[in-house]
Amino acid sequence: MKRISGVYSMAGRSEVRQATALVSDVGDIRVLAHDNNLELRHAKLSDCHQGDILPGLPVDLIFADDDRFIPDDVNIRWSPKGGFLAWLEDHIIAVIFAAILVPLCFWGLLVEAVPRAAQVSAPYIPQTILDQLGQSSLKTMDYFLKPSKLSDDEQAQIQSNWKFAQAAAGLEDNYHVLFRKGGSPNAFALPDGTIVVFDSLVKILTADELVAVLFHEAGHVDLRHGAQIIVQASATSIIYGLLIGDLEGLSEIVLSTGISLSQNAFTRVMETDADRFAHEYLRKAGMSPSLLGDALEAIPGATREVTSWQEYLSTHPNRYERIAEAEKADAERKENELEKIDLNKTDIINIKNH
Amino acid sequence: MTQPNDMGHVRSAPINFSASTWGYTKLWLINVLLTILTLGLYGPWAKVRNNQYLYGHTSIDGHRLAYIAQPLQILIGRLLALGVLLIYWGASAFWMPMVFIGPLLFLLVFPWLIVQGIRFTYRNTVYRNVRFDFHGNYLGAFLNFIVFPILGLFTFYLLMPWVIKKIHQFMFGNSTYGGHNISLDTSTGEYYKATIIAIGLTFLLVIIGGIIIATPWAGYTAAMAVDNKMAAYAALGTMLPLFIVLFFASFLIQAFFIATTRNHIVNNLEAEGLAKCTSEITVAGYLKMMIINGLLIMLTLGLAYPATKVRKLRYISSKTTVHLQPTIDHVANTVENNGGAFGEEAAGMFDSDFSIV
Repeated sequence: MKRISGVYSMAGRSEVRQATALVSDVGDIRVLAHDNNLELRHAKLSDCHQGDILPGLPVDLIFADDDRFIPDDVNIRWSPKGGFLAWLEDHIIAVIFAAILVPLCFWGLLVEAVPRAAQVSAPYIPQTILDQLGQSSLKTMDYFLKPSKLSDDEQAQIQSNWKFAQAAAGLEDNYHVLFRKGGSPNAFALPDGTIVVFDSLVKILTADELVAVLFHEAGHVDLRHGAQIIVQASATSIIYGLLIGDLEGLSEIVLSTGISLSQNAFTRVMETDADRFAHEYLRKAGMSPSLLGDALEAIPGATREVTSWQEYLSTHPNRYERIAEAEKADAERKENELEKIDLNKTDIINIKNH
Repeated sequence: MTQPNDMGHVRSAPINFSASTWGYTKLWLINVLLTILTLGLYGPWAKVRNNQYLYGHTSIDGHRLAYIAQPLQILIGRLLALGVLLIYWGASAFWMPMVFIGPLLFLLVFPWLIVQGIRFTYRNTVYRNVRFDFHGNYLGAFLNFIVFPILGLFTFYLLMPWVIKKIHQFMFGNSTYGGHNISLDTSTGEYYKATIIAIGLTFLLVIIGGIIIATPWAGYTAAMAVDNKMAAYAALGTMLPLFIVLFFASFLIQAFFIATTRNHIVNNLEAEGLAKCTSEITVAGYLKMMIINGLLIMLTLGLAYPATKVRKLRYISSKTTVHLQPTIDHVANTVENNGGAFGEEAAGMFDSDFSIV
């Protein structure tokens, strides 16, 4: 027989009675009022259930009709079952484990799992959806962009240069180059294969450099970067909503900063991949990969000193690394050509023809 | 148990908050971990356990509050909200005008979500076996959360203090406890007073900040002019701590506004025939709490979040007293079902939920 002191409360009523619960060895429970020793309740323990167990809080005994007995002692348990969560929540090793694992998981989820999932799932997004997306984003952007001021001849010249280079590189023509009068020199690719070039970019680049930039943008299309961004952004916002939706104030700022930094890392990787794509096809077209570097060099607004911490704030990789990569790719191309000349004299004619 | 102070018939009892920072940190961390490992499916259980802990450790007159939401119901609400979000994304990918129509539709649904969300929270809050309830309706939410704020914008924020007052009245003054109305009789004048002083403090801070920053800034530009990198970095180095001090000083404005309005709200909140409250938050006390919490968050990169939550609730509780009529011992519950969790979860999903001052 155990005597447990506490309060007895009736379902849906604010009255409470100070009481003592007497629990017999065979599982009978009697609740007696403190003041007059009247029996308030008599039941079998097996007909009752135990309330949730939370650290530092008493565990209610809930009768079949929702009346409750609330013990004064927070250590009282009515049933051996259901203590796992409370045990976990109070177990120092589990907590240390969680303290290390939680930041790691977040980092892994945002920096590793989500981009990888985006890469894997991007090819499965139907082309029709990407076409629709490209069309509708072009429509939206055309509210803000003005028509190009380039003459028809200029546009036709660029188009034919691009077509020629594509054919030479053996790249299937899935692209549609458009011109718009935008602000600062820029070009971008939409997931349906539309590549938009701003007049200001055409003005500062040579014809070959522009082709290099178009190869870079074509890389974004072929590597399905648009689809990847959609998957990544959706996944990140769902994670944000489901996992950490209840944060507020400064904590939310700290975490959302982390998320946007990881998103920047994601786009930097895509830029590097598009650069590699451009190097490869420039080479196949018999052009120098360093053209892409020259194009980057021609775009104004970068300082020579880009420190490593600034890179985390950037959506694009360090420009000087990109230029260096282009030069490296060019050097490799020249080496390959020399080998080819040694191996097969007839190739000389092919190379010269380009 | 707290010793109620028996003055005549009215008992005055402080709010006793017994949660420990470490206790809640442990619980919270495990819950976040389980949520991540289950890819978010455990989230509703985590939310319920966190609230059960915080509510359960809040007691008034020796009786604990309780949070009784069902995790499964929250999960269904979240999945429904997620479904709506996905449909919206899908629709806007296929049909461009959806990008513009979506937010407009959302604006129309938003008041309903707010009402559902507040009702869900109230109905799942229990004191002495009796549940709170919320009676605000769509029209009220539409006026208070959409029409009035827009009106406030068009009057160059001149009406904003009044708008904030209306929102508070809508949220706290439309509730009942066991059939007893809860009313909030706040005065517009107090909101304007708090706003004007807060604006004055902001100006003062900007001027003082400008004067403090001016010297190292002049040093920095002078050093840059002669291309002396070392001197320029040194000047920047002295500015950094100043910026941090100013950042925390900006907490002062928040602390002042929150302390004043919260005291005013709590002091004028009354459960008719049941209870009244008094709140004695001081600007200094609240500011101290905010600064320590801010430092904790920054030094732990956000991991101290649960500890800061406990510290905040502990401070607020310690400054709040409830004056109970003897009728509190004989109240019967009037709420049966607890309303769907969709509104609450959708509001969270679309990041449009709001916290109470």
